[in-house]
Amino acid sequence: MEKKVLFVVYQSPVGSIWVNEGFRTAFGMYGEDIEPAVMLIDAATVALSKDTKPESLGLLPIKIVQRFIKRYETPVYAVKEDLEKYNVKNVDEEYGAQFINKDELSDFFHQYDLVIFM
Amino acid sequence: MALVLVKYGINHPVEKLKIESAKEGDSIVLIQDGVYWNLQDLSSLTKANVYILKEDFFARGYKEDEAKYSLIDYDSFVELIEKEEKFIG
Repeated sequence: MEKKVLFVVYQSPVGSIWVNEGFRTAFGMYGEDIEPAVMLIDAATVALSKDTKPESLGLLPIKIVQRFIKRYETPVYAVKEDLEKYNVKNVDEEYGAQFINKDELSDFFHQYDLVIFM
Repeated sequence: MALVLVKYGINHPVEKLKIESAKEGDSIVLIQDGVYWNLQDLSSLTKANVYILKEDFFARGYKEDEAKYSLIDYDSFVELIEKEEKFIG
């Protein structure tokens, strides 16, 4: 039976590798009996801004994940309140992100067999 | 029901979220620095069953009578892992 796995990333994409790693891990799950999804919360939500560019500091770019999101149709989620908290306005639609209210998180997490914070 | 694993302390950005996400009937296990959540009153955050990994609790200098929640050993922890269908951690 296919297992639903959610990777939750909470660290900023500028200065940490975890946004890229979250997506890379999810993409690596295809081919197994696993249905992966990625959620960005807290400081990781700034990854969704069109204007976030870690590469401007010589770090790994994050937008390289977008073509794989499209290829694999990986669901991407973020928390509405965290977008507001970090003032993320210019959301890059290439992520195809869906937004969840914080008070819906408990039910949302319980839809998955595994929720991995990373 | 879900097993919720809390391994970082009270200042970590997401552990409170995990605890709040637990539902009644879920099992929260405090391990490693997660045992410091014993210093907080978790009843306002969750209705889930809370357990503390005994070895990690004692290793940080706490005594059995300081535990607000059930102390469990590794064998009981493994039983919980096997019992719970879902995992958040």
